[in-house]
Amino acid sequence: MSVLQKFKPSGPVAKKVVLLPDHAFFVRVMPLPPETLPAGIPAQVELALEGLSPFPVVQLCYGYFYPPGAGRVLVYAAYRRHFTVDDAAQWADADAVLPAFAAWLGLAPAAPTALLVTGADFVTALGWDGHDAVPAVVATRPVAPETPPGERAALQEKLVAQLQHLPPPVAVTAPAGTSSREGDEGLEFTDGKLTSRLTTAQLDTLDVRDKAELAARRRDRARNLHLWRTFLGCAAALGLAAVLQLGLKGGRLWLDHRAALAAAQAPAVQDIETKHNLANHIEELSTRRLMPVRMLEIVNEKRPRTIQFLRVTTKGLYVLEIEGQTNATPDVFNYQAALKELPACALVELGQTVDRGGITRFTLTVTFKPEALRPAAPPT
Amino acid sequence: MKVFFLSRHLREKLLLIALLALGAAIWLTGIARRGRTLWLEWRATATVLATQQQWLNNRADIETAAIRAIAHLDPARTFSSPRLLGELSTIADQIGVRSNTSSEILGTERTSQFAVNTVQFAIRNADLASVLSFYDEIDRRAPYLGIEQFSLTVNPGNPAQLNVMLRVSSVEIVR
Repeated sequence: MSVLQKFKPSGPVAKKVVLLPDHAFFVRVMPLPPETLPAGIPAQVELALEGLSPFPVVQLCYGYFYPPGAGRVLVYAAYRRHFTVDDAAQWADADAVLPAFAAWLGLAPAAPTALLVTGADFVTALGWDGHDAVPAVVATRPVAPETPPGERAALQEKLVAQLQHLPPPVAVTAPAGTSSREGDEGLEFTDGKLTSRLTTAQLDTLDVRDKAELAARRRDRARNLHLWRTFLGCAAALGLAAVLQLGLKGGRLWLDHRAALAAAQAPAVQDIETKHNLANHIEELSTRRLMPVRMLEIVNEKRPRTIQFLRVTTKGLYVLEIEGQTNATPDVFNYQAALKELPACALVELGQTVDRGGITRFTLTVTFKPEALRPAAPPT
Repeated sequence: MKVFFLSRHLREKLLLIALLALGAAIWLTGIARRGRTLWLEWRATATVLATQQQWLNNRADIETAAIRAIAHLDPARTFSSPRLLGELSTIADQIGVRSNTSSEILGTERTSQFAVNTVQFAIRNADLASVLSFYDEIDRRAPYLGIEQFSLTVNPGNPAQLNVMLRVSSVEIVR
């Protein structure tokens, strides 16, 4: 039973996102040369990190934000050892692991906008100039939870001062998680009226986990997508089967109805058919009677004296089958030829011919022309 | 559903797909088989109904033709099966071959207005003159009597004697 319980569908589950403190990362916004191709961005990011960081790239947790068509790229990185093994263990089943400020990168406002993101132990200023989806300014400062409000305010002012030529910042809190559910595309973060949506492709570059591990997750995701589509295909086939089954049921009912109609009509039709056949039969008795003696008279006219009839049988109204014998074999062929010459005969076929002990036995099938066997008018 | 599916282990996903695929394949195969049977029955029934409809459409013409076919016949001169047998025996008696005959009623096709009765009549060891006389007598009773099949065999022991097998039908008008 517990095994079955395991398969019982549960309600939508929220996606798990690990949002790391912003101050653990150093952040850079780098302009891109105009000719930069999207495929070259990862290499450019790694090259930049090697220049910026005192640590090799393999020892960094890093990510970047580059929406297609952007003129710059936002790069962030943290020394891997800033995070404990327990932290990394929690990341294993997360849908995404990224710095808290990255949750708001999905805003990509069309007009100049500034955000002041407040977390438990950090404050981050984000500023978009309205020309690019990538923020022009990202600055973060650690703030201990016990920091007096005055000091906190002063720190925030310093950060706001970096958002030159931008409107006053909107204060938002660092999200604790996402409102997205399992099965949703990408991730969504909300605070008040602000909603930031990050696509799966964007999350792939924003995620700070090991890139090989992420690649494996992407492969899993692609495989799962294929499996899900196959599953849907099978389910659709079952649905189609159900529809066809209903169609068959309906077709069977309709066919039964038609069969019942045919059965109900059958006696009346049989009666009509019998009347038709019998009427024809009676008509034939009057106008197209079988005339075996006349047939015999016709075939006897040309019969050589050497040929003897053993049996004559009528087949229908106009065919006479003759079994005969002779001691002069050529006469059989002569007789056939003579019958063919008769105007009353339409067809003369020689069947089996057997010669035994000097006696030839043969079968001739003679088909007469109907006009040759027309009876006299019936008596009135 | 998608969440449920995606949250399963790989082997469970594969198992679910295999079960669904198998179920769909079995079901669709069965449906294809039953569908073919249904289609064949449908066509057969459609043919029967079309044929029936043709007969029903021609009912008036056929009934008119049937009435016309028997219009010139005298009901008193028509033959029921027993009367047909009796008539054939009488003819055989008249020409002197009564003792060499045998007969069998083959059947009757009947409508509400008329019927056609058929009998098989055999004459053994008769000479040609008797056979011709018998034939002439039947021919004289046309169209009330008619020969449907005629078979004449020479007696192997005596070529002058003939065996005749006739299938004779008669018209019977139901009064």
